[in-house]
Amino acid sequence: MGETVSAFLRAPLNRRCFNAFFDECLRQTIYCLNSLRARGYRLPVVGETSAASLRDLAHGILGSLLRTERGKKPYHVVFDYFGSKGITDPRNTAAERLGNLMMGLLWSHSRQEIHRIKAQEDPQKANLKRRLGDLLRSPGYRTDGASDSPIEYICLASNSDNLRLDCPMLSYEGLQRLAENAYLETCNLSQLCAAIFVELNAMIEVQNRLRRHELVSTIVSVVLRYLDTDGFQTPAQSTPEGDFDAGTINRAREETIDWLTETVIREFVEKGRITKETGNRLALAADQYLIDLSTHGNTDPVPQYFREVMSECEHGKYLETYKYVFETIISRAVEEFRRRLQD
Amino acid sequence: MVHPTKDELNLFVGNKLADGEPARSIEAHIAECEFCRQYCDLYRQEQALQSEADAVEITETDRLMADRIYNQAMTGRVIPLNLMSAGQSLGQTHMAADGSGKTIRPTINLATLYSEDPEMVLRVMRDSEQDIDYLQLIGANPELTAHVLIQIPEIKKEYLTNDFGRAIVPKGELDDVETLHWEIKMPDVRFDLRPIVYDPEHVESVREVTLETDQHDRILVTFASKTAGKQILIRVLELDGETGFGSVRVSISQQQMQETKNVAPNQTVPFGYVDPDQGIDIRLYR
Repeated sequence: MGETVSAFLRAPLNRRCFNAFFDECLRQTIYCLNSLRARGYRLPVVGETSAASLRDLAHGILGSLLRTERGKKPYHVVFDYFGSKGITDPRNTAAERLGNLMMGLLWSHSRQEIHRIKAQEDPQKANLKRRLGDLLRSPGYRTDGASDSPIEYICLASNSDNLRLDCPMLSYEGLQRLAENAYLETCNLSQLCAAIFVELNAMIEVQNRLRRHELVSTIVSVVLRYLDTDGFQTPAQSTPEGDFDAGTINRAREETIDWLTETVIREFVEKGRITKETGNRLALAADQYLIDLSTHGNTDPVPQYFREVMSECEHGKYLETYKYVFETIISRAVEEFRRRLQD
Repeated sequence: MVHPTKDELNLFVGNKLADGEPARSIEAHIAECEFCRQYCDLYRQEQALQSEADAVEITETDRLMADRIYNQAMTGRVIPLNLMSAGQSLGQTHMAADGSGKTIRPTINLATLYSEDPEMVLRVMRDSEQDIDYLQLIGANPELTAHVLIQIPEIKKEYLTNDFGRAIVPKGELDDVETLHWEIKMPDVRFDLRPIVYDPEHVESVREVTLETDQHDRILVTFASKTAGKQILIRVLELDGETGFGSVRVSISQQQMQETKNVAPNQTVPFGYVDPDQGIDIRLYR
């Protein structure tokens, strides 16, 4: 792959170089689509086993990735991507690196196109969340929450009478480090969860309970990263957040959610578009969205975040009642979050 | 508990670990560790899918898709040419009847120019027998050489190639060809009319059809009836969705026949001598 990509980048209008590049991209896109299907994605093809339909889908993806819009340089999506990686002269970069970058682009573009065609949650992630949900509902854990807030807290059931509520919560980056270390010492989800709480319990300067959505997000992100077989599947697009350290990101995220609650959500509540309780839930969903965005850039479709915080009876009202409100909240949150990071 | 590295697990799955302690300890770890077992299952599956994809044969449909993407990239491009050589003789004919060994040179190569990306060669030729100069464009793909403009901006000359990449140059128009800066301008818009569209013998009244590209370029093609002269008329309606596009060069060709004209909005270009069995290529250059 690397030599072919290198030759193409050096002479993109050379027909032989382009043909070889196209053939390689087509094979890798077919591989990517088959791999996504094996991981549980429902692909928008006629007949789940139809090779011809899969090839049509691969053509659609490549048609978009390798397009040249009028007035722009040839294959501008590809060249802009390599430019964003600091590669302006391919002769100065090893062919292997060029091949790996191209594979990353093919994976992320294929995922984006499939999301665009048929919005769906990452099946691997959904499966992990489901298993974690079952685990955290088991007798070994206890879930608490305040009546005026949708945020749920998880602690070991054995600690429920011994919570250090006067201490500060463990920061999100602290939780990430804790989960990373726990992963290295455990063999399955159940052990991983238990190890996190054992270690947390020993950190007497912080509370011995965790926000549920932060715990789930951290574990999912750690496990998926270690399950990534070749570095292309899970780390999606590079995001503007990639340049900042975890502490800065988490401060910006917390400030953004406070700002969101005080401005955008408050306005919707005052106008009677949503209740205060719904506003709190949507703030939690926005927080979850920003965590995914800043942790790995691989966000789920927006309505998925809504479904996770709202009761099932509200799910059917999304398009009619909540779509505008929630999409506004998410887009304003992302805008504000990025603005705060730049400041 | 320390998990094996991904490299070690990959080698294990591929049976590339030497027999002995490392392989046995990884096997024992996998039996116990759900995370690593899941990783190995996924990696095994990925390897099988990758082998399957590597064996995918490129079909005619794939090649058509590649053509479409490539032609899109070439649309409207200006390709500068470099001088490769000047003043070489291409062929010599020894006339036996002359006995004296007299030689005439019916075709002279005045200059050869080239482009590396895309790979193309332009030969500037003089045919003494027919007393004409002509340009011959050679490339890997007819789309690159047929119906393209060969331009010399400094003397404001341009020549449109035919189906075979050849353009006739009026005698005496080119001097010092090797000192000029040559370039190739690819069409900005392409329309292709296929043979079933028009049979002048059977059109009793005027018919019209509007053709449109993905980029909102629109032309009106009028098929004139037999009594109106067996011709089609082309009118450019919009370029990039704009009706006020200034002027555009329109080229219409069918086999050897070619018509080219600069037009403003609402002007038409007629094209006669239509052969109903052949396609008609329409190209626009901005």
